[in-house]
Amino acid sequence: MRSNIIMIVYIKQAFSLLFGGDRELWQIIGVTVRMSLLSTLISCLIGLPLGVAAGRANFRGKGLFIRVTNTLMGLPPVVAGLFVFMLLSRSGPFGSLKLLFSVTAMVIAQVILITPIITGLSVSISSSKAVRLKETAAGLGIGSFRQVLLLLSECRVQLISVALTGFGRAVSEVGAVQLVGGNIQFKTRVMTTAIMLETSKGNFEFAVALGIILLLLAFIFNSVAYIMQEKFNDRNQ
Amino acid sequence: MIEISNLRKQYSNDFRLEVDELNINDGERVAIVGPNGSGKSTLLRILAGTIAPDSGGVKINGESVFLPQNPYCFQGSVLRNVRIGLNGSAKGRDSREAALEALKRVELEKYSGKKASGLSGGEAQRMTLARMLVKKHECLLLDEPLAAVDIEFCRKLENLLLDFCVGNGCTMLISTHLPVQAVSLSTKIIIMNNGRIEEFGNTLDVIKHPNTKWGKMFLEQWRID
Repeated sequence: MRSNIIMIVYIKQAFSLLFGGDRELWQIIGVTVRMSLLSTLISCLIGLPLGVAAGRANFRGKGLFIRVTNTLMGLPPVVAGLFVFMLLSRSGPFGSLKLLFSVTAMVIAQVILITPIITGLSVSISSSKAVRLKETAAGLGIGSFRQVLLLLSECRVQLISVALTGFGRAVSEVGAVQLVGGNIQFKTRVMTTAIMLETSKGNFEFAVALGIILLLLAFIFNSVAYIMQEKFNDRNQ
Repeated sequence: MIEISNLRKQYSNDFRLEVDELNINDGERVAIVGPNGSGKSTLLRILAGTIAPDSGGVKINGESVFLPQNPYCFQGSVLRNVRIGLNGSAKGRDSREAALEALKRVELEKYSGKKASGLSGGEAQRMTLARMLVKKHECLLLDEPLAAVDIEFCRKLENLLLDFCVGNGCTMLISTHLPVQAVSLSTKIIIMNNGRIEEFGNTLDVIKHPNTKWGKMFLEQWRID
């Protein structure tokens, strides 16, 4: 009974935070959405064609490619963050770009984390359709590049789920973005790092409210993706 | 002209395709027959370039098209599937008209807007045939293209294939298990067994006077007078 009341209080707080004109909260939501969408988009642009092309092709070292990709799918965020931190720190090779503790640095770390996930899942999804599609398309004289485009189109419903998985990882990630973003107020603070900060300050109500908003955000993006998938399914069946 | 020399392909421990020499002239229609696993599909796939031989050479003059045994049906409409066969050679309204014309030839024009996934096995095979015939080719490589089609349509589509080949002067290699189809469609016949060509020659000559014991045994099962 008591826990139910506490939950209701938290949800109430979440909505009063959302619609209470809290400038910092909206700024945090903005940075979170921008960073997550941008890193997912870049990762999809790299990972989807790469994964589908690898799923279609038979090349020497394909097994190694898949094993390396699958290993990188489990890359610890802190390791990715550390890698980007070292690259962008003042003494690092890209230190002169002064990107450390910026949203760009956070996007770079996220792309390193998400691209293997998107690539690996795309390989396994496209491989199941690739054999017959490749034989049919090659038989019609369709070249390799167009075969990859056709395969991307044929797998689009499942690839939306792949993109969503990437977005889910981006929006919920904390270790890497904390390291390279620095959790700077009004600059690089995102939902997850804000939750960490509020929890460490003992401000649990605020932290839970942020968590609820984060879930709400994920629900909205999932719903949009679900509608897109349903639309594609209707077209295909 | 199709030329094959010293072709070798090891598929598994117990199957090896071996074709020392095979020449097929332009405009010839060749039926490839033989039991399951005799190498008909492997030979056609190598000719189509979808699998590479271990050794030996294959040469085909002109543009060829290959219809595999289980062709892929692309998502979307029947019309879209047929348009894919044009491979960019026609666009816009021309592409649509060519695809509709091809569908008309296989009597599927009323299904042009239907989803390809909703077609029956035989209808899907007719659609894939339309996808192949939507464009002119010098050489047709067909792997059991009418296996799922009913008898009535089989006859119609055999005539369609004949007309297409004669009309466009194209060469055709077709694998089949149907004796009547092999005889009615081909000018020459290849009988395969265990990865080797047992018989090759004019269809009626081979059927009447097979050279090998195995060829004779195989043709006895056909019971064609």
